[in-house]
Amino acid sequence: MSEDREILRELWNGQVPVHFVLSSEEITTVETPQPYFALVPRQTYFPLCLEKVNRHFLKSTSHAANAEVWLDWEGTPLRLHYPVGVLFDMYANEGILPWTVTVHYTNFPESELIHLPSRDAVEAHFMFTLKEADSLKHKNTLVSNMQKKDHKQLWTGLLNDRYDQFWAINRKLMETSTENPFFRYIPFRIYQPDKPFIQTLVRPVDEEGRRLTLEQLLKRTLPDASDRTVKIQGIRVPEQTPIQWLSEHFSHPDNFLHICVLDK
Amino acid sequence: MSEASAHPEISKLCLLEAFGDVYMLQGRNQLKQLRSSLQMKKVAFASQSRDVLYAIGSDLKAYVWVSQPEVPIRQVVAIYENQRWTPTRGFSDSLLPTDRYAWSDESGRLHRTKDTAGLPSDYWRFERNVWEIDESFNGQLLGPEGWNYAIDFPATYTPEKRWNSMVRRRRWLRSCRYYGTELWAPLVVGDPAERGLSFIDISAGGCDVSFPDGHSQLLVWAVSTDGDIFIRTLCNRSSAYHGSSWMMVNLPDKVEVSQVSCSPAEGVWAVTATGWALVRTGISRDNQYGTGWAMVEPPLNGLITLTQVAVGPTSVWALGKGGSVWFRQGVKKEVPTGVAWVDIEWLSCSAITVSRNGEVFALGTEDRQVYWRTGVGLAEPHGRKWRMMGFKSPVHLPNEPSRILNWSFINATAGFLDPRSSTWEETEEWKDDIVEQLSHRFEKEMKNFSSLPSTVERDDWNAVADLRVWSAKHSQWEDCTIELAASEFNQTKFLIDSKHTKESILTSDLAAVQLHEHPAGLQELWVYTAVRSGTQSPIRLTGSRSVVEHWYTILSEGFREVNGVKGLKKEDAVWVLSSTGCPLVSCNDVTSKNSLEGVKWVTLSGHLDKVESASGITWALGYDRSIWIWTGSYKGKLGTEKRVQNDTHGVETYENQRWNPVGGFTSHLLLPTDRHAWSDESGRVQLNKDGFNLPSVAWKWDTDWQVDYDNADKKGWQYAFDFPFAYHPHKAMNDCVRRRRWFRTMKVELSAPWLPGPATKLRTLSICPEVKNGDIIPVWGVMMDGSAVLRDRVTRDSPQGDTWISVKSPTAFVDVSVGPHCVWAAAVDGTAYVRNGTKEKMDGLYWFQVEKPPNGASIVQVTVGHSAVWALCQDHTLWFRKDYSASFPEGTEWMCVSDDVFQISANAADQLYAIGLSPESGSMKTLARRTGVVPGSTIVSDLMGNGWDFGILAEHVSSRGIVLDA
Repeated sequence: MSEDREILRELWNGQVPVHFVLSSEEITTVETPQPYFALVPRQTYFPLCLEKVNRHFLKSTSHAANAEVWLDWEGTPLRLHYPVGVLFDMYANEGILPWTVTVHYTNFPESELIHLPSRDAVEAHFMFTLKEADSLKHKNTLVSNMQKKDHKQLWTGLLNDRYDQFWAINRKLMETSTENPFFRYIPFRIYQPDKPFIQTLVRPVDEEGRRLTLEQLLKRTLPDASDRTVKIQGIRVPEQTPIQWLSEHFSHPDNFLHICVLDK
Repeated sequence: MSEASAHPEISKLCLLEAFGDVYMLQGRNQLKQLRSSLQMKKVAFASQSRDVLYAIGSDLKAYVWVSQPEVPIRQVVAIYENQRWTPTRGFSDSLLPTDRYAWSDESGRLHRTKDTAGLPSDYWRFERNVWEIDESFNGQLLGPEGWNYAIDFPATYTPEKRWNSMVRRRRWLRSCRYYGTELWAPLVVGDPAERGLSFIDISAGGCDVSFPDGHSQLLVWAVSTDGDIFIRTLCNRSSAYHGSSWMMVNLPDKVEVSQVSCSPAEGVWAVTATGWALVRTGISRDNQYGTGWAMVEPPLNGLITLTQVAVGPTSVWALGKGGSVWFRQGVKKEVPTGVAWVDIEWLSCSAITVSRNGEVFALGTEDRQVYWRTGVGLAEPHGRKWRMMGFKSPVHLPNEPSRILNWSFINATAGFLDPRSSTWEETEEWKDDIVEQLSHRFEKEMKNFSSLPSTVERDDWNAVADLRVWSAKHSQWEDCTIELAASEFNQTKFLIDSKHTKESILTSDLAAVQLHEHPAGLQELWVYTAVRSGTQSPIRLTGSRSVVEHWYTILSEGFREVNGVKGLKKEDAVWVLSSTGCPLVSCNDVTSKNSLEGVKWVTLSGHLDKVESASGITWALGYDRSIWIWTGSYKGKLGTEKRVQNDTHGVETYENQRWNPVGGFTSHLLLPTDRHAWSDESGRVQLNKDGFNLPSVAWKWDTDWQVDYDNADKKGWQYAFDFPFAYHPHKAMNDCVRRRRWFRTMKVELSAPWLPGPATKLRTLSICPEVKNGDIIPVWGVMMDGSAVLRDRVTRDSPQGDTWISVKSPTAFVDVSVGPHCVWAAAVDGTAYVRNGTKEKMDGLYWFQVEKPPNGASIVQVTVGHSAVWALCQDHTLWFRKDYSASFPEGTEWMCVSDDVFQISANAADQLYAIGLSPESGSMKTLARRTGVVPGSTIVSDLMGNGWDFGILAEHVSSRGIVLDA
């Protein structure tokens, strides 16, 4: 359905307005540096897109250009291996836009964040998550049977914000056949503020062959979610939406459904 | 061959409520009651292309329900006026005593006058008050007197009076129309002996059976209160499905029947009073009623007594006393009784039915809900599980909330149901909600901040794929890489790199992108560029299906974006259909271009066999002859393209065998010069049965492989002396080869900008060009039986029009073309007819026959331009009608123009567009335009033109939207 394709595109193109502010601890010049405003794609990861931000702030700090960057929002360090959109939905939503985020170059909070020092590290993490999603969806994993250049194409597609390039390969991971119209299990993670994420095995169909909806998935994994705000990709997905469809269309590039459950 | 039609209107099933009311359920939420004061006990859903149902009333009589048809059901009542010649009085009504009555029926035995000629039943009324003389005989126009002459009465009649014509007769006609629609009409009782018959069950099938003479019929079987079984003869459209009489069928000794079920294809099963099953044997092409019965023991060696049986197109299901459900395994053409009973667990049912496409539905005994058997298919014919259908019973009628409906019976024999489709699933409100929320998200998070820079660097990216490209110079396929890259000035480049081809094309230079399908499964992507779309061939790419389709989508979208095709609705465009049925519209100015090379074509979604665009509206016909009307959009943006167009398409292959003394007929010992064991009709192309692939992901197989028994023996074989000779159904002495035709249909459902048109199926249609905005646009069509019809009240604002008007014609037609002054049509006998007087009266005044061209070929197509009329013959020759003018539309003579032409379309600017063969394209049909034409000229050679200019590959063209600039 052409409608589904347009939804995929719309989700890929989604960006969020961010207001980057240099942490006061980092400032070594007399003048406070100007903040940096930018639109950041929801699908990417922060460590991949901070070049311009760094260049902007480097004038005002004495730290080396290759210092490891980390970000926080109102004191909470942001997990840089989560997609930007997920972080935004967790912390920024319903607040003032643009979303204000503080930039740090020192005092990396070792106990709270994982190091992702380079682009390669992010790539490794991305591919790892992708393979995990693949093994959940398919009995015989497709990713391991792909050529190296296909893996590269997925990564470069994500890195350079190229929808066609990415989906040329990702399509195969989202395909189902008429004999087997469902994934084995749905790759999803439920995030809540200040709690570890929830990930369990859930099939997209019940014993009777009926498609499971988002409502049913939440009932099974987080029963008290019914009176809380549930967001995926920044919108309140309707409860009757089938999760098979959600997995095919609302997943992030790592093929996982990242579901944010917030207190009302 | 009958084709299963996927028109959404037949996606229904019929439910009978405990109080006797009949309902039709179409999709989850559409329950329609067939309002009537009568109460029914049994009901059978029989329809073909409109709702026809049979039922047994509480008075135990049989009734039929016909829903309001698009074109009224008519019969023509005919009587003959007979006269004999005598020397004294000339031809008069004084006849010999041995002669027939002066006013009689056709055989002459029955006396029929204008006053006594009766109507078939109370539900028929004469349409006009007068009787009219039949002015035609066997397709030839007679004079206004309408006499036919002969030597004596039962002899051969001729229109001309010969020297030995002693008698003459003429036919008087009066048409009557059936008014018994939308109500339960009791079946006409012909014979007084039938009056006493009472029935307890009725079943109607045969909607997918093809009959030898092409006319379709329903096969209606019924069980009387005495346990006898009857067939209703002649249940066809012209009898308004009443049929003519009940014919009793012999049963085995002492057997009484309690229930009967007919398949929509072939097959009749019944249940006896003792709970055994009876299978009708001997059903064949020539005898649809069968010849005998076979008894089938009930399940568990007779322990279970059967109460109901339901026959589908390829399966048989039954219910036992107590509600057990059984599936008959092994039912095949060779073994109509099947082999064994399989117990289907879990659900106790009170009624069961199988739909026309094999889906099984049942009513639960306890809860009276409708259940559907999931997973019924070729692999698992008895399905997997029972699933309760989405809607909940008890259902309330909208106006009577206090009345709860309890279902007592269900029948879906003629319904074409897909419970997996969106009409039966939960309505996708959630998707609409998502789309709306995404739109808000965009507003909130992006639109308001559009001035901010993005953190992503857009460096040169590319999408790459490996395909094969055709190198014309070397006549072979070469491996190549194709790439989409960003180039300067924000343009996208399309690069092709192979051993001998290195091309770089800007998307703004693309002229058209087409997907081309070979019969045995290969797909090709054809890319036309502004330079190439004319005489040079396009770039041809092939490879794995999914990659080719993916790139087709990418390039089409790029093309659309670059050419700014969004809400662009052009009236003066040329429409073309590709060999895959895909419509393309010209999106730049066609007339001003000297050659078709510079024309750009935008691809629309759709699967169509014919398209006609003129005067601002566009109608089209699917391969299954359903009408579709263009919405005017070019594939919508987010959430706007909700229209669905569907179509069915048949494929065929021939199984060829040669006879040898040792093994008889076999396909293994074909001579080297023979055709392949499996081939197309010409024998040149090898087509294995398994080698057929669906053209794209949007298609699904509708039926399995079936044998065509038309003009063949019982097993479908046609015999001949040698391969390309005359084939006949019986093996003659020196027949050494035989062949058998297999066919299969596929159906497609596309998200496409087409609205379903009127529910009638048309062979062809034509729209009058040059009609001003606001005026009524004449749209003419030819129905499947060859009669000419005119659609009333079609305007730009309401392209659907209102009703059909029948145009009385002396013969059946194959093609029609409407011009501003007259209408031309091609008749089945190969001559042409001109309808004069269309300016005075919408449906014209009278027909005038025009002779065939001098080479004797039959005319199969006609097209009317502004100052010219063209005709296309069966031998692909093109002819021009000399001296055509508004006051003299018949013209004077045919002039030969060209050959190798396959389809033509002339427009008001006097341009002739056609489908022909260009020297470069070999045997592939190409769009062509006549060169050297001076519009409006009176000189014949100016109007005929002098050559052809070629464009993209196409199967069909309609150019009638182009008008002369004033």
